[in-house]
Amino acid sequence: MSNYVYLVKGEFQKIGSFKLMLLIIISALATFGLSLAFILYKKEYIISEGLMSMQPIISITAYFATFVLVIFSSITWYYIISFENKNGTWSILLTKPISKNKLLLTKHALNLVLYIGFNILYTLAAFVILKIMNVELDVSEFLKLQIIFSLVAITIPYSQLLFHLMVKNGLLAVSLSILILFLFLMKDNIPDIIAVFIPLLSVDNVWVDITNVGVTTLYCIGSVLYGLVIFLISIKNNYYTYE
Amino acid sequence: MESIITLSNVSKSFELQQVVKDLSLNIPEGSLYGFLGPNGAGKTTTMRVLIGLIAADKGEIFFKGKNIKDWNKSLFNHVGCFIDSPSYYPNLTAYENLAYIQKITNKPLSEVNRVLKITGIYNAKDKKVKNFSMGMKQRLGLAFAMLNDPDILILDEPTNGLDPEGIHEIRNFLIKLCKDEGKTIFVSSHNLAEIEMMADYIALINQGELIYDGKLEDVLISEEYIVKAKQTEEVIQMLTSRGLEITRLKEEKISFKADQNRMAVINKQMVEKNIDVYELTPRKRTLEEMFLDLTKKDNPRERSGIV
Repeated sequence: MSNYVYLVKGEFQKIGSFKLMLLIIISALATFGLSLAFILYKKEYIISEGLMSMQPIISITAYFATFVLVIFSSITWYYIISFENKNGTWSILLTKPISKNKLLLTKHALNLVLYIGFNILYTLAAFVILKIMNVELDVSEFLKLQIIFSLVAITIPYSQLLFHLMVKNGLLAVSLSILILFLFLMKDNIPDIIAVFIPLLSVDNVWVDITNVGVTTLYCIGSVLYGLVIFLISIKNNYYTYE
Repeated sequence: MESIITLSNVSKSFELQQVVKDLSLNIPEGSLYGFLGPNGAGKTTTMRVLIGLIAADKGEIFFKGKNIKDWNKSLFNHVGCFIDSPSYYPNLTAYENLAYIQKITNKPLSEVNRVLKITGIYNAKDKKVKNFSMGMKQRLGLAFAMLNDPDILILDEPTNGLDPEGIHEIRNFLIKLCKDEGKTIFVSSHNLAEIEMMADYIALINQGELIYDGKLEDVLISEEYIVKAKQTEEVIQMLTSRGLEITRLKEEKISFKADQNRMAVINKQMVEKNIDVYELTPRKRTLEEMFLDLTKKDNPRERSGIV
């Protein structure tokens, strides 16, 4: 276990700890800024519709967090996976007696650490927004909603990983994240019966039936399974080749 | 000597271009094996195929007689590689770069200082690699290859970017590793003089095809002799009467081509005729001459006596 901790730390250092910390902070600040700006801009409408309560405000912050997360995860996978291609360091790793599974697990663990880091700061950002807007806060309900977001939004980084599996060129893989953003923006044009089965849209869909425990649980399980399948594909698929 | 690595009819193409064509090599155990070829000849591709970084389209590779379909973990315990001027993790120091590999492979960290010392970058061990010069990066590459004391070193142009002093140092170091510690070293280079000074065996490829594979000393011997004698004209007459082509060189020296048997007869005749011979030596070709000779023709297979 201590070996894995060292390896994740090593991965962190390889990319640059400061750079990654800065990325998390900037992403959380961007979510905070976008959400707050939108809420202030639409404040009268939100109040007139009776939406100035915890759940609708969190769903607004989650909407912006989704967009930021698309960019955030595309950059993190770039550093975790494509950086080795760009840097030509696969040749070092692939010519040493290294367990490829161990190496991959380390990389996934780093991604998870970064993802959790973003979610913690995003939760803090959402909390501050609720305070600024003087919305009554039920802490346990608030944390539950944030955990639901974290579970369902796992589809985003793992969808990004697919691009890095398919495209060896890291920058191209990052730029493909525009497709995910496009899918989110076009969601209203997709019939609900179809949209509900697109895992990537779960993070957006879940807020419609957030009070329905059964449906929410299904979304959470579906998203985690989706992430797990891509994780397994990434291990099975020998994508970190030199050719 | 027994072959430690054998390549048998290995071919590799990229899209429509065949980069390596039916290449067969035998790398004897404990030898310093030079792998030569002009730029784009397929040296680096061959080395990448050899260590399994890329898959061959055809052919087999044997390590100690065992067919290697997939270079697994245990094989890399015996082989150290330096391929294609590898890059490192620029945010880490030299020590951290090597320590990362040791940690991930569950090997002792004490090994890191050992390889840093023998490659001459111990004093820069706490410097970030992004601040390293090209020469220091090359040395770090060698340090990576030498981690955990492998039996075989596969080195692709290891002296690129080094200054003359560095080249000299690395060359002597490789010779010492091979002669004193019995390591097998497979090294590619386009610097012919460098290979000539250290290799026991060489392989020469051109346009992906093997032109020569064997002992270095065999390829450097030519059937050309140089004679310097007091009675130059008499020697010329004697040689031309035997139908030999001669070339007059500087300082009354004459060069001519003859096989060993004829040479013995000529030598005896010169003694019988009381010719004062100051010098009679076989002319040794340089690797450069041999290289240019073998690579200038379009079809290497047409050359007789070679491969």
